[in-house]
Amino acid sequence: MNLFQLVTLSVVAAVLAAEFIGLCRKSAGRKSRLLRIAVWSAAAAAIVDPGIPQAIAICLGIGRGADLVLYLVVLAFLRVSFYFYSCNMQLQRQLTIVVRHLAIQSAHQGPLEE
Amino acid sequence: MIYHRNYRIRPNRAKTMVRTGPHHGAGPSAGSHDIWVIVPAYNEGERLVRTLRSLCVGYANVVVVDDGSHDDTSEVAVRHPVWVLRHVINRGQGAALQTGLSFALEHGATVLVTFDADGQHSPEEIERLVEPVRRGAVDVALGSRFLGQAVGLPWSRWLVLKLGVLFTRFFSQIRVTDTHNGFRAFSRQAAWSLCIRQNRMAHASEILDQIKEHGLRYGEVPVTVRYSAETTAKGQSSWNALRIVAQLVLGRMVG
Repeated sequence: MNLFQLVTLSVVAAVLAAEFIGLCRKSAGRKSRLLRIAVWSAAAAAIVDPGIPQAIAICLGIGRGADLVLYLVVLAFLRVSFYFYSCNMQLQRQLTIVVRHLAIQSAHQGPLEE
Repeated sequence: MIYHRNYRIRPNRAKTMVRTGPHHGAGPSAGSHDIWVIVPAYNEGERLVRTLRSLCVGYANVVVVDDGSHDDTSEVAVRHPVWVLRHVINRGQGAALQTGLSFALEHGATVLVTFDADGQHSPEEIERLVEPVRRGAVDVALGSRFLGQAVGLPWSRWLVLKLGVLFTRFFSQIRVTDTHNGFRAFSRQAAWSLCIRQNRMAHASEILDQIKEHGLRYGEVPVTVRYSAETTAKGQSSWNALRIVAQLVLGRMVG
């Protein structure tokens, strides 16, 4: 095991430990916690044995494990970007509605005689 | 109060409260009191005086929407016989227009005109603009500087506006000669059906999209737009056109 694997696995182990502690406390969001545990576990497996993504890539006809990881990262990045852009737009629109409501509520007239 | 999309109050609940200011009757036509002029303004303290002086001569119902200005725009507006609405923070011209439209609809407006605060438009042309709307020939009258006159229009702005026309013809499938002219007139029904969700400058294209989507009848009316050094300096930079396109495309992609 090289230095990179040691460092990244330590980080992943810490994250997984935190997730498992949260899972044991039966806090809300159990499903999403399980999903995160699955993703982190897959990442740990790929770090421990780089042959795993390589084997999957060959099965899928991609050829290289690094390419498989890259494609997945790009897809995830796009999905997350659109999600946050959509959230941001929705928030902006809600903020505008609030600002508009305040503006209309506090509308006032200038003097009728200038 | 009933909320509908971007803050609307149902027309049957609208209060009929048409103002009759001191200059009522002195305007371009005896029926000008049914026209509500909406003026979105952002940091326009200096130029707003001229604009409001000329508008208030003929129109009793003027709504200034101060879009969170840092200068004295609100203070200037409130010295005139107009309605003053203030966004507590800057939300953009599209948001300010929708605020003005919602307010005017709430107060029983039958014809709604959008008018720039910087003095580029001529109040004398409002009557000509609203005439087809009043007559019932169209639901929306769009001012066109390319059918009328564009005085002092820089070539770079001319180019951007022409590209905007091509973009609109391609994406919105609507044939107009001037896509980003802030001088428009709407019937009450048309204003009611519109819902401007693009807060910033992309609202102009969004309005055209919605005209097409709702099957509103529209027509273009030649108008004059006057550019000066200060309006050109404060106005949108040509590069902002790219941002508008990005806002429109991304807005359509994510809904």
